[in-house]
Amino acid sequence: MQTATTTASRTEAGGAVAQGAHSTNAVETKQATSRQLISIVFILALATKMFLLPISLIQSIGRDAYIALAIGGGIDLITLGLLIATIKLSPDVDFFELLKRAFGKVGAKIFVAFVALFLFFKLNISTTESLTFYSDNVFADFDTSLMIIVLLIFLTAAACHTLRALSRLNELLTPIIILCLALLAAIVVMTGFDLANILPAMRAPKSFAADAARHAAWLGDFTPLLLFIGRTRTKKHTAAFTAASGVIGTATAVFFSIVMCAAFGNVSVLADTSTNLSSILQYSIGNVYGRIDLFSSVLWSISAFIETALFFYATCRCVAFVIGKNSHMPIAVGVCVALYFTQVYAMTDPTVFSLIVTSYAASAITLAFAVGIPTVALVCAVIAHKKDGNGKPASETADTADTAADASGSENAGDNENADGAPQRDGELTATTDAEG
Amino acid sequence: MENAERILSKFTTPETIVTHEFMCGKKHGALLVNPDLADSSVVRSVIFSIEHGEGGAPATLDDVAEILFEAETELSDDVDDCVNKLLNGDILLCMEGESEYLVITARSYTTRAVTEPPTETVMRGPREGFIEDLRTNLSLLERRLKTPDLAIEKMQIGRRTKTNVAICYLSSVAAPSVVKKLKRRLEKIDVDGIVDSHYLVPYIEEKPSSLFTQTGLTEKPDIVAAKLLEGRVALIVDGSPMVVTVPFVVIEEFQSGEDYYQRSTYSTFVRILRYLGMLLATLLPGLYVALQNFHYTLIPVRFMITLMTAIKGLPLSPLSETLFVLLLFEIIREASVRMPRAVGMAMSIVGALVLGETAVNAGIISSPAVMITALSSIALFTVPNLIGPTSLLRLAYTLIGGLFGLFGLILAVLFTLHYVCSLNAYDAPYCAPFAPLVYSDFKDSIERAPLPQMKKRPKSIPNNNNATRQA
Amino acid sequence: MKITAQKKLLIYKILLFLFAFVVAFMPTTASRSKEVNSRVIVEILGIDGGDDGVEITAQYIMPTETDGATSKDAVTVEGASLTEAVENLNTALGRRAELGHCSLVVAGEDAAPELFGTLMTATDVTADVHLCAAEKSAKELVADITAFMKKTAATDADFIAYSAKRAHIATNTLLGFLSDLGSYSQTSYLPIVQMLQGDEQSGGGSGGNSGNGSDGGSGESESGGGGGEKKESDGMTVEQLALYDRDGRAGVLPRQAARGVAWVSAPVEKGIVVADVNYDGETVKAVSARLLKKCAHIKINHEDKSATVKLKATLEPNGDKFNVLDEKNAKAASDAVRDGFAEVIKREMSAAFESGKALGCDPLFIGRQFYRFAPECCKSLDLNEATVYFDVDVVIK
Repeated sequence: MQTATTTASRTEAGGAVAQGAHSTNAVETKQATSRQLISIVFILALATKMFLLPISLIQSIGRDAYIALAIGGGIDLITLGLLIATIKLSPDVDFFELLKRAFGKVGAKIFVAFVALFLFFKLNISTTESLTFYSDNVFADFDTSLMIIVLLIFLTAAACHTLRALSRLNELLTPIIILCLALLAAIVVMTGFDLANILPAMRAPKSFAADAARHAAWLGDFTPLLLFIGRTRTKKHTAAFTAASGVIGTATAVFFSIVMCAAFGNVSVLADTSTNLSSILQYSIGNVYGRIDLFSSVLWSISAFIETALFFYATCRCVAFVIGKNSHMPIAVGVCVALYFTQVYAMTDPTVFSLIVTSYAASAITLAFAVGIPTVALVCAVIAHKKDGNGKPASETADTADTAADASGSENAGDNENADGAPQRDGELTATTDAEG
Repeated sequence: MENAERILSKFTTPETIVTHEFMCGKKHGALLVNPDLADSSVVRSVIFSIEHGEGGAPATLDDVAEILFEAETELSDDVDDCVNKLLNGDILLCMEGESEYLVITARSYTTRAVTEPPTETVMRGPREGFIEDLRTNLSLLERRLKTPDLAIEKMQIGRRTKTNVAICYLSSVAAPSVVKKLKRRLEKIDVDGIVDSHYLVPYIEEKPSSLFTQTGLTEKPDIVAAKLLEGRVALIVDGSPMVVTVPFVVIEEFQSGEDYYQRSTYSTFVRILRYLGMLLATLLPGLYVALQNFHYTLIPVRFMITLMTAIKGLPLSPLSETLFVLLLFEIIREASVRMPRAVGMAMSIVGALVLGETAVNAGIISSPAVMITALSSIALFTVPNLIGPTSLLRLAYTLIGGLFGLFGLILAVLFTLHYVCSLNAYDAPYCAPFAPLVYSDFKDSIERAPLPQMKKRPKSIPNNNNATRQA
Repeated sequence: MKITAQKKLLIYKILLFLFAFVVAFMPTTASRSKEVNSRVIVEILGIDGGDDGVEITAQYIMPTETDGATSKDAVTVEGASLTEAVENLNTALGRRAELGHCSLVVAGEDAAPELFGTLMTATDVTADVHLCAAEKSAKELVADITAFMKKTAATDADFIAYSAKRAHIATNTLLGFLSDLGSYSQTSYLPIVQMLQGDEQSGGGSGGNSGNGSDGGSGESESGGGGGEKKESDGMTVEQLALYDRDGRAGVLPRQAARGVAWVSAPVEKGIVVADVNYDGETVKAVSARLLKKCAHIKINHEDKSATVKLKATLEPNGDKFNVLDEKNAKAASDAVRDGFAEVIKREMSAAFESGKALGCDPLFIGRQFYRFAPECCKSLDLNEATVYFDVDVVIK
């Protein structure tokens, strides 16, 4: 039983005016800010390209591996451009809604099902990379079937929360990742690494092309950005900065792959999964205080975990759209179980991994998806944009609002979508917030 | 008297209420008072004024109100409201032939003096702290915010305790949505009683079962005033010296009132120490166990030899040993808080020195484990507000580090950070200004910029479009 | 009964503590097999042999009963392959050998280069571990080093690391060695560590008896350096370089040629240079200078198939001999000193090239440079006929 509330406000007049004024706390659906988008693009550009891919390329191509990686990075940057254009063209309508408008509900679900499969495939690659890095470099004994459980718990937690939480996590950790990478790069530069070992370049162009083509499975790292369509607060220069972020991330990956190629250019047959940036840098700095390089590499490897979480999240959202339910936990658990089985019984076997991932068929399919998905998204966005007219996107705002927008996210809005694409309230996920509804 | 009976019939033990019957001319009148809560001098002066007032005996309650012009009075015909006021220490006056009651404010509680709060001692700055009396607390706040913008909205919560709660905010600064949300949550509370501000906390938090608190708690009026100036809303509860503030962001745990009374450079240094302390406290034991169990190559050779020498012959595995030492520290800490002062010092020495040293000499635990745990435990206290979550987290991290090594430790940290990033409290992101990145708020996060440079209110805290606080 | 949120939290906390202790005392967790104490730190690894069997000698460190003290010892094991030998080492030591902290690998005279590739890929030995060569057998050298380190109470086997930076010795790491061998030059080098023998002592060996090593091990293990008369070492010297090609050790470069290689080797940053300086008709003998900084690169000319080794070195002469020269004509004196050192450096580099050529090796990596910048030219390149110039620019500080 509540008693009457007595108001002893000392400022009735002033308060009334103030209450009516526009507050900085504008109600909004949960969205990522442009800064978060930029930092996510940076992470996606380099995270998994610096684990197994350079090793596999060095083993098959030799010292020209960095060129193959640069070409792959370039293709990915093109897909990034397509996605950025889509985000700009569709500031308020998300990816699922765009598809529905273009293909209808059934057509959209079929398409998203394929997208989900592709994302699941990419998820497996990034998970394998992370697990292999730790099993071959950080641990003497590594039981994948046990260790992956910890990773799956994190992925499930990420999928059960919002995209905003993941974006914020990425924004929080990106400076640390950049710091670690800068430290690693400084080590390389200051210790006078013999980078001339990458010469001569392209001595066997034909075999280069053939071997490089088998590694297209690593393309499509920017595909999770589909989730940011219609959910990102863009500013005037967001597109430029995002593209620049992707370029810098790719350039960083290429730089470090040049270091690896220079180190193993003459002994490419000796490159294996224990060959990685960490051991190269240890080679460069020497055993000064133990393996400092490993520590910084481990810190940097959190970027791979974040990328894996993004892929996982994207897969869950696509599955949710396809099945028409938006229950986070059951879907996440289902994807987890599938991931567990594929990892433990397939991907950890290097032969199987090699057959699945570095085959021409897989490469061709991946390339098709990697380029096709953003293209379809862009086409849908163009169609939707033309249908809606050429008005200025409503969410282009000034700097302060961009900060305030994320700073003052509403508790009632959610970025977790219903199957039909309507924004869903976070309150529907937990009983506690339900009571407040 | 019938009117008096109506009031007294509401009480299980009407004897607690003292009734003074008197004659006002030809009318019977009665004065009802709870002697435990009312000021007896006010009671005497009311009776004297009625009986010896100028112009003869008052005929109506309005006349009585006129006589008692220096007192706060109001007329009420709501019996329940009058009972409530009586229970709060006010005097009720009723007269024959009138259905209303005259409520005269005469509250007088025994309260303690305003002293420095034991949980927030400072070397510089004000040493006043809130006490259990709401009025005193409000006066402490009003002395610091002499502005007509200061809004104080009172309500009563608790069916039986009818605890007075005051919502304080600056109407030109605080975001209306925050105030509205808070009020709505408070109004929904339907509970027997609220005896302390901590009782309200789970009702007003977004995620009450979370490990991390989403409300600020402080005993100092200067801190509350500063928070109100930033756009927050304060909740003062009668009977509790702890004031609750919302919205809350995690960096507030690392801020201390004293930061603003010291040089900014030193304050910045101390804040960095707090962050480092937090990292050490949570991660050190887990890292120690992980390195010992899995990652030998990360340990420099000389330290590895020292470690091997130290742990030679121990009966426990590194994980068990570290957990054991952590448990030992937790027990000592908990016991030292609760044990009587007379034996406190002696028992602390017994616990810390004798147990620790003897256990090492007996070969049950190793000295590196004791040192690591001690360092971690001391580092806990650099951020006293986070002792609870931090001690739980470090236990979890130790377990995970021992079972899954650096891999598990990093994922556990990511899990925690992700969870913290997902929290939102009253439209303010919990992890601001780090996530989302709010550059302007960095002046008062890790760094404590000089006050003249902090021209704007923190963007992380919603405000009423009133961001500038100094020219 | 409905459980409130606070009760839930309390239950979680209690369960976590209970879970923690249950897990901690579970057999698999309580098992000590993963602890750091279940390992033995191997500091130095010596490798002998090749296709007919591999013999490895490991110097390991063990904590002793005395607080803070450690003991060093060496054990030798054999195996059909390197990986088998490493497994036998684990057996011989009674614990798993921790090779990740190995700071030095010694190559015996007959150690095949392929073994080092296996060492890098199949064991925990890191790519940055320093390599050195033994004059004869790695087993004897490791035993001698062990005895010497015991005698001097040295804690780390980082003397090669010191030499690498400060003592003007061309050193090599495991990856560097393999990379050099895999390059177009197909040549690599390792510094040869020699022990300076002191007075003869009877019995006891070089201190390389490893009682631990022979306990419980395989029949193939034996203690290193045991028995017989052995001279106790007074120190060690690193002056010569062993040259390797893909088939194994091709030969040894003497001191002067070894210094020539050091001039071109990038990691070498410091050292002492001694030269005879001709000034004003006089020869001042043994003027020494400290190397402060150097920069070397090889420029190739694919047209006339020549290469120029350019070196710029900044030297700081040591005081006394330099002051012997005429202070009034400081510029001329400085030029004389500069020319003297330049001459010495040129001679050393030239000796390195010529000696390498005689052994069929390319220790200055001229061929590699041709391959990098003029790969087409390499098809018709004969290093024996290529002209190599040495351009040395000395700056006196």
